[in-house]
Amino acid sequence: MQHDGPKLKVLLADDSNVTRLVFSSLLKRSGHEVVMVSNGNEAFMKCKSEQFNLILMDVQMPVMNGLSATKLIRANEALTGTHTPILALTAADSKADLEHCVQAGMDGYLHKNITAGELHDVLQCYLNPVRQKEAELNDGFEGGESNSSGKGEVREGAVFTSSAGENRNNGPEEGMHSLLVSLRQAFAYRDESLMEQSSLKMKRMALHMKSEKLADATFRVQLAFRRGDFDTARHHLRSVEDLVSRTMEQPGFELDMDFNR
Amino acid sequence: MKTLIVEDDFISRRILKEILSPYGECDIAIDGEEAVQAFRMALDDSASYDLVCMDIMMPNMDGQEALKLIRALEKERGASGAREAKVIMTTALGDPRTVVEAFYKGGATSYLVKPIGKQKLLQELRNFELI
Repeated sequence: MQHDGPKLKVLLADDSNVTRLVFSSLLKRSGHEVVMVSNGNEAFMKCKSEQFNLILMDVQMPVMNGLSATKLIRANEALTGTHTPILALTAADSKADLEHCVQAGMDGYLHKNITAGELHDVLQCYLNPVRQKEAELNDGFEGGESNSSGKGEVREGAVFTSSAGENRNNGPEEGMHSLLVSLRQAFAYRDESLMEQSSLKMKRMALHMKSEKLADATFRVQLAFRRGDFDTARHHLRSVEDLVSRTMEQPGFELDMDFNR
Repeated sequence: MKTLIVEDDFISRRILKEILSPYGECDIAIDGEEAVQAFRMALDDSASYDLVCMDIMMPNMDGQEALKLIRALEKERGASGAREAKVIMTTALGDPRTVVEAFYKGGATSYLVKPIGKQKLLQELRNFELI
């Protein structure tokens, strides 16, 4: 199975015409495919009938809100053994709000007033070389050309294909992957508290797996981030990515998933 | 001068960072455990810290314990004596017992009682010939 370039099929759930218009035009401009719905119930129904690479979900919507929809989607995924990243679309950014989103099973959040450049950066998290490594491990989907050695910000070629996750269990790589996504998001947003949270989890997971290297690399990201030295942080973030993908290649890679919850 | 600030308190961290940043790179660890890890990694990179400013009372691992481990690491890597890092222990209490322990058993170079004054801290660094 082949895909042609770094395109995502995105489900956009928001009750506001304006938000839908803004995000759909931003996404389409980058060549992504967008399917729009206006409440949580529609989002859930859409997810049952179609596969998406990414879901952008408003939190407050009529009929069914984004949190309930996420819970339903996650429950359904537990049956099918898939996992589609869901990001909250939110205007608020209080810790409590974010925490609700995470508890409902979302992978992260986007501010509604995100700029095109920022959105582009975040989507890069989903055009991630780790996906390719997983692709090599899982028959369910295939990756494109690897560009993980490249120094450029833009990583091309990797994408979840429409069959992403078909054959994969909700294994530890998912936990690792979503932590990596949080780290990248924290970095992209210069979000200190998300950085602290996600690197703490990543370090714990690394130590649990007896990968001191990964724990160190994660801590190096953290230290550089705290110093405000983002170039160095970016550099170490790449090491983390490499170590994570190498870890996933190891046979018998197993982990207690409690670490991610 | 490469500095490691070890503080669980956000405000104290900010203050120390502000005072010390003009003199070089400042890393921040939020407890003793992180301090030891950061110190070890710096030794790994052959870019060890010249100065460690460490709070005594911290969660997870306190400053005393961290200091002992840091000195042990230095010894193990042959960085003791004149090459060892200057360690200033900071404490909110003028509790002589913990201070004495930090000095004589833990190997602290000096100690300062909070609140940390800029001049007082800089004077210490001059005494150590770090600045």
